[in-house]
Amino acid sequence: MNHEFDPIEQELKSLRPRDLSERARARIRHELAPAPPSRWPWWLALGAAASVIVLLLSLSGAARRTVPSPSVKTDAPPPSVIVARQYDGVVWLEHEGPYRRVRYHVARANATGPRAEVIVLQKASLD
Amino acid sequence: MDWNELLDRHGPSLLLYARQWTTCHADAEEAVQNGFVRVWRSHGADAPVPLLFAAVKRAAQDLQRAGARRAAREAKAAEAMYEPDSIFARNGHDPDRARLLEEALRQLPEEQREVVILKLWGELTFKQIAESLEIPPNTAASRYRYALDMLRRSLANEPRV
Repeated sequence: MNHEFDPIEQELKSLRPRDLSERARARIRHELAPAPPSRWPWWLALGAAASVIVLLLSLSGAARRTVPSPSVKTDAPPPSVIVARQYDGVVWLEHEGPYRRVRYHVARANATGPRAEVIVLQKASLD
Repeated sequence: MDWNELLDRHGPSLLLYARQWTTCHADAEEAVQNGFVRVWRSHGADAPVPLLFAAVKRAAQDLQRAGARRAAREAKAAEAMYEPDSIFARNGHDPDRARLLEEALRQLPEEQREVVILKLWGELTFKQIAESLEIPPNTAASRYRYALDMLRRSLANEPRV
């Protein structure tokens, strides 16, 4: 079969397919348009992102440091006025303040060092 | 070659190709857009032409599946006055003969029609058609021959201007 001279092929080929509309071309142009250049150089954007991350990390660390552990009370009495007493096998620390006398129930007390660590579970006013 | 040149060269034949699986010209344009953009992004100016046709076919079939229910509903509603829009430009050709040719082309089985479109308007070789359709080159050639025979028979008794 000679493709060059087949009349049916020639006649079909003389039909011209429709062109793409301008609207379709515009959509393709839009899809293939290069991304607009960033207003910041990449290294500046990277630095800014790193700074934000460091700031967030430091803030979360500070938050962790300022929140007391639920088992540790920071209002333990000064060691100089503490009097330790034992009632029914339970160790209590008693502290007489300017207005009231306060008794602390001590779960664990490390009194061997210069700065005794006192973990107070319960505080009871003796007024 | 930039994408404009590639689209100028193959846009109309890609559109004609996509038209086989879409119900209207606008959907065919969307299929060309989707397929063309996908191939250009992955291959750039080195995009193989058979791949371009294959991507447009996939995009057209995706659209066909997505819109099948809607199209069926619309076609039923407009059945009485429905006349498919032409897939060819009408300029410079006898309109009656062009309509006959187009109708004869539409009557071909899909697997033959797509080979005819790829061969005549896509100007692909049988080897390239085979790559695009993932069939053996001999199968592509025989489908083309069957299609031409069928077109000859259906147009044999029609008047030629």
